[in-house]
Amino acid sequence: MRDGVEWLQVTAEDWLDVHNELLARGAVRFEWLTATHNLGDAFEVTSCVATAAIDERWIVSTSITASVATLAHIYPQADFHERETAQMYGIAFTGRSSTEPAFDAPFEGHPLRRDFALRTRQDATWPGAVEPDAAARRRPSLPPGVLPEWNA
Amino acid sequence: MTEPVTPNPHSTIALHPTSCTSCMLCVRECPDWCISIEAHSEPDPDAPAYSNARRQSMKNVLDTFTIDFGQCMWCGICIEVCPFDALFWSDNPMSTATSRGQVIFGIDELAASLPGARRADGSAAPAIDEPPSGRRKK
Repeated sequence: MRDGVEWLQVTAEDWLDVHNELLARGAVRFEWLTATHNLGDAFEVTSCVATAAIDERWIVSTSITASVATLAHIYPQADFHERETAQMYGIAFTGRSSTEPAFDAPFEGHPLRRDFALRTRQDATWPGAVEPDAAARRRPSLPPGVLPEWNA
Repeated sequence: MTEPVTPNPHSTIALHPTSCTSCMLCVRECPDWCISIEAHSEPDPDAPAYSNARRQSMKNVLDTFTIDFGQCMWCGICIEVCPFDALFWSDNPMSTATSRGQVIFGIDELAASLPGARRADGSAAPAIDEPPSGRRKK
């Protein structure tokens, strides 16, 4: 508990049950939901719920692989957050009635994944390519967020 | 999602130039590519002379160190990865700028933030004329 916030780490199976229980304990406000990409198909999904007076908040976090149960039927506010998270990370929220993407945006893929190639980096020079000791033979380091052929 | 990294979102980052070994870790870890270093290596006069040394011991000499605060998002990763205690959060505020060049800080501007800089434990960062306090011994 810190500043009225309780952090809960739950399993993916308990994700829905924990939110049901928090709702029963008065957490009627659904504040936000987002994810973190931990490479490959490992993701961390995190939500924040609060009481009506916002005097108590819970941040619930779960490690998932590719999909997790939806909360949209118990928290209608979660609907947009789940659509956004699904589009940005390419993860599925199972049990949703609509899978419409949140944004009509011209990108392909899932921009908030760690392996997403950033187009603006195609023409940029990576400052990390500098090697102060020219005589030291090392495997050249490559920047994240770019495709190998951009360095060719 | 842990503690806020800096209490003041418009504070600056301070560099203690003699602590920097030009190891490039901060440059390569920066998610915004906003740090750049120019450095060269030269023979290290203080290195012990080994009779069986295959090559001369070299040390990196920092020529330029730039942080582009126009791109920086104050994530603090550079400060966290620095193994030589050369980078610090500083309480010195960013002054307002009227041109892009004014938010690109070189060694002198970054070192000017040292007086208000502190370590993660709250203690003061070394002054510019103090020797390196981290792992860089000389």
